[in-house]
Amino acid sequence: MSNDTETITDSLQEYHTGTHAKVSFVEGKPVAIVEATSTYIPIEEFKAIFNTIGKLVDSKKIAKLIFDKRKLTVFHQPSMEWYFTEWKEEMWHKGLKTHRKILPDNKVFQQSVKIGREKIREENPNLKFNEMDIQYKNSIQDAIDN
Amino acid sequence: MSKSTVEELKLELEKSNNEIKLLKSKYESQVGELRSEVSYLKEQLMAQQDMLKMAVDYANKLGKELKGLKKKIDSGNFQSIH
Repeated sequence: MSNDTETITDSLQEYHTGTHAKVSFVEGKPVAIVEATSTYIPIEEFKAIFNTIGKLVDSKKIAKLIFDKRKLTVFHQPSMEWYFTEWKEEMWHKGLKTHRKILPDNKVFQQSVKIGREKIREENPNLKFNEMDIQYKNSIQDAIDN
Repeated sequence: MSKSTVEELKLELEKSNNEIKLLKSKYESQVGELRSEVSYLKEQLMAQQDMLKMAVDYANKLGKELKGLKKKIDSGNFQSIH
């Protein structure tokens, strides 16, 4: 994972490696991890990565997704809109209802994410993501366990 | 010119052509990589600009709301929800 000093007791299996993000899953648990590996994920790759995760959700019955955004310095609001209004909605119906996020230690990024999410929420009050279990964590292991 | 000299020249010419082809292909590949890198950086910069603009717009909106709230309080029409 992105933090080399991070201790993870669970065993992670790599599933897909893209140019700016990679996907893995936790052996023996219905948990998938998507990790940003560069400062920005272009929208085309972002969609491709999440469509790949969709296949993993189907095959491994993934119920929790951990999005490790620690490497990111920029997010793209149209990508976020697609992620919230289309992808997460589709995944909700497949049983993926728990989301854990690990944010970078960057106040501007953190605030912008909150603002962007609130904007989507205001514009889409009836979306399922309002009912999802979404929490922010500081490490992969904490996100896997809680 | 003797026949062997012509053959040698032909061979040299062929070698040179192959080298040119190889250099051209390397150059095209490097230009392609550079183009995709520039396109990536351009998209990233635009996203960064949008992200900051959204944050500034939101801060302005909050500023306006605070001003409105202050007006209400100053006019005595403010009712606390607590």
